[in-house]
Amino acid sequence: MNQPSRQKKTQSVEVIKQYLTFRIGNENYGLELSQTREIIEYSGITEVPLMPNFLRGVINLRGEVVPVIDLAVRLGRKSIEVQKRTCIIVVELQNNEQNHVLGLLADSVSEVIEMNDENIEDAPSFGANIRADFIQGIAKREDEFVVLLDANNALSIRELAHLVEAQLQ
Amino acid sequence: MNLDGALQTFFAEADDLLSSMEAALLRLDEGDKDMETINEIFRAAHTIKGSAGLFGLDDIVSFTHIVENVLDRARDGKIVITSDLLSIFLPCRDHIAVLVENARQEQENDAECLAQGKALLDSLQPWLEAVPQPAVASVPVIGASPKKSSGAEANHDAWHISVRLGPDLLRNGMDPLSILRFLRTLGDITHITTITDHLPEYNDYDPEQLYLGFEITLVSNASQQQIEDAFMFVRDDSDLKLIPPRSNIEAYVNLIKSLPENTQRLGEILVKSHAISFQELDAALATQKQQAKTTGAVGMLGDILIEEQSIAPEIVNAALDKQKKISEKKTSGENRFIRVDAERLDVLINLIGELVINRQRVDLLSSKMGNPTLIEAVTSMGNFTEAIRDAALTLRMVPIGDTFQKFKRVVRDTAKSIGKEIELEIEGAETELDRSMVEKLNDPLMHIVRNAMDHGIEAIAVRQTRGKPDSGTIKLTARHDAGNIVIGIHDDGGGLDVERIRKKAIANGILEEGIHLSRQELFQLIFHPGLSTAEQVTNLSGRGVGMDVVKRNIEELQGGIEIESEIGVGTSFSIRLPLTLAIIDGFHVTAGHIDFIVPQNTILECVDLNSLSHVQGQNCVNLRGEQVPYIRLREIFSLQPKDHSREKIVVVQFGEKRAGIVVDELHGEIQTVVKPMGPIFQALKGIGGSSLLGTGAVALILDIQQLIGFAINREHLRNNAFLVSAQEQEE
Amino acid sequence: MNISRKKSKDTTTLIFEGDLTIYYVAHIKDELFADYEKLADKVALDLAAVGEIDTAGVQLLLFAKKFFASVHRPLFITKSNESVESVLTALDVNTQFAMES
Repeated sequence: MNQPSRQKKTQSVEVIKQYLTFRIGNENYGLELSQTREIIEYSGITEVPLMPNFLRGVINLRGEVVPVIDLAVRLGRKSIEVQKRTCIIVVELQNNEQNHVLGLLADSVSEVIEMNDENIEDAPSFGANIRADFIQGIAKREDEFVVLLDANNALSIRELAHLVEAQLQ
Repeated sequence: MNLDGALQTFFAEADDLLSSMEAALLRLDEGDKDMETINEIFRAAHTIKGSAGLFGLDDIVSFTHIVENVLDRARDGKIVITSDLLSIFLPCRDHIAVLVENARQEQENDAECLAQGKALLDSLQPWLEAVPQPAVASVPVIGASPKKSSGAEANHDAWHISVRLGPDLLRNGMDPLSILRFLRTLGDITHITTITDHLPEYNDYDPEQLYLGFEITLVSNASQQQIEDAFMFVRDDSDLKLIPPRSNIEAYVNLIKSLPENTQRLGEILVKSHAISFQELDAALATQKQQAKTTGAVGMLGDILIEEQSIAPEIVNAALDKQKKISEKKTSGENRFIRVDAERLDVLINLIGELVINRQRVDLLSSKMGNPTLIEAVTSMGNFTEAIRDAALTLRMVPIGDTFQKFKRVVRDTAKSIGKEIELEIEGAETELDRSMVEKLNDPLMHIVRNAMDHGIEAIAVRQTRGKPDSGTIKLTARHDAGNIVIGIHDDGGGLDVERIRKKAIANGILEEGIHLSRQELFQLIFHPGLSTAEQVTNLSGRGVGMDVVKRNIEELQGGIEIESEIGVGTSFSIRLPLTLAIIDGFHVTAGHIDFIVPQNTILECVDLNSLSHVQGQNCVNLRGEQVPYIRLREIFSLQPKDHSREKIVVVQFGEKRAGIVVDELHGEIQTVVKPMGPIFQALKGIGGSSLLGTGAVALILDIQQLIGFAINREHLRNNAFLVSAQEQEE
Repeated sequence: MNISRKKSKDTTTLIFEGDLTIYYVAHIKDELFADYEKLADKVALDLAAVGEIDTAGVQLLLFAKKFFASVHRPLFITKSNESVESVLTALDVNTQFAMES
């Protein structure tokens, strides 16, 4: 799948990708910029009853009804508390040849960074405290680490739907 | 390159023609003796053959050609359509359908398929003329050089076809050569001139654009319609002129006048093609010149010719009248319909949905501002918006009759194969519903009908002992009822045995002994996945679909299904569906902090909950003497309570039952566009979709049927109160 | 589709190989008329190795005829095959490409 980091050592051509970075709690995360569509202010979420914690509700995105995921819960962290800088990152994912649009709650959005594959480390097999298949790689920026997420796994529509189903039973 | 606008149209039309062909064949089978029915079948075959020829689908052409020949003979009364012949025609129709489908899938027809076709054609042999007409195998291939007749006389017995084709024809995947090929199936092209006058200069020349025109002389007995059919798929952007055989010279001269090219040259073309003779042309042109000399003005060629031949004005008028009649007949007949891509309609309906939402927003703003003139204007705009919405939705409405019609064949074939006599009656075929729903209705209907044939209708011997007629009846009905469509499937068979269902349900562990269920609830158990009995799995009701799937399909369409049955008398299923899923009238309420929409067509009334007396210890109120069970949205959805709310009860009707939905606040009627919630929420029962309010907030649309089902399930876990009260209400 | 050129005395022969259809006409146009100044006084077409030909292909030939006439170079077909011949005949344009005697 989407794991360019695995092959980086044999690649001679530099691959530079852009990532949108954001903060959840005191951790830095990144998503491939090409998978993100826009960032919007947090407002007007409609709660959907009986949903598990990671599913915060739905928003109206210019006429489209879009589910909003609390990424913190999905990553096994404490649920995000809404504050002034809380925002929603709108991502578009391909799944079964269909486009799915999802909103991700984040404490704040940081910046867009360019990363050479050379500078991305493989996901550690332990210690990150996050499911390994959610991580595409770890980027080192100055003194900080940025966890680059594998959106297709972390936000797998099938898995999310199964979790909802399990919650309802 | 994208070939495909025209080809897709062909497939769609072929589908339609094949189903009308099937319907007509079945009518013959039922004893219909009307000549028009045979004509209809013939026309269907003919049009399919013709169009297929245009696309070079030779297998379809060659097969259908023979079928058409037999039909033609029947039409002429040379042969009688017997049931033997019918039982060959039906498979022939199916074979054409297979060929069309293969073409659609861009699949070669394999040897087996072709052998099958051959076998069918062989069995048609006795009905063909002793010397069979050359079939397509020998339909002249392009390349047979035009016959040159040597006489200098004008060939007035031929059609003259003058056509300037649309510039995008080639790009759209059509080739004029196929049109010529089709024309050759109608007769002999004795002359053709390719008009190259419009080829542009180098820089303007786009090789994928078509610049050519054609002047064609066709010796044929074909009708004008048949010839026009050859141009069916290119008519819209082509300029086509036909001159029938034995027309006056006037027609040709008028043609010359109307064409963009040089007069002299066109004249020569016509002469060369023997449409008119040199003498005639010379005379006409000479007169024109002379007149120009004497009067100093160039007279219109046509005028001069008419003058010279002194054609009586009556004749001209009569000709015009006739033309007018033909065109009127056309507009009142088949050409009343235009074909529109369903996707385009969906786009329109989505846009109108957005308009509806925006209208609500404008409504809200204008009433906030309180300017009476503005409010008036907005109200009137709102009325139009509603009218547009309704009109747009009717565009997608189709009569259910076509769907019902398919079952004639199923019933006929199946009854034969299981040795029963079954007649299918249809009522309310003209009842309309949304196209998208029709498609999803097919499978559940098929399953119920097959079940009725298999298990419902008894064997003839059994029917005789019960004093019933040998032939069983299945009746499909449809009618509109308060924003819903109700579809019925009735059979006069053995009926459902409630006691047996109960025993089986208990034996299979679906039902606990001692629990009292109403008749309807017991019937509903047949939709339980755990109750499919061995009997149900025959080759008939097969395809691995159980009654549970039927119910699920119906629920996906926001509908419900009910059963009524009496042992020995018969069974009736009635399916109730909303007419459309795109836009609904709803009632806006809140519970907790969430906005909900209750579909308007389910609502009976709204009452203050406290104003009603409660039935002790149960979620049940007394409404004018009737006990109505209710669901508190706050409870069932575990919502945060709102302070100081005076709860209201919305009384809804679903099928035969009533129930109350308890909410915190009522806001009023609202038109709303249904937005799907997406796959993540698939498991959530009771919420059928979402919708946007005028404020931009998202509201959740309740699915009453599901919601009550959900509540009943939860009640089962507790004390059965809902059920008991629901059923008391019924009895 | 491939066009190769062969020059002999006063004639350049253009040898076509492949399909002469709507799918290729744009490409063929570019190739056919490229550096037409370098062609000899007469242009001959060898269509023996043409596979399929459709109306777009025929139209291109008719256009070529017209174009080369405008630069005073007669165009004619020296070799063709059955499928080309049958299509040209069906449209009754075959005589336009006959060699001038």
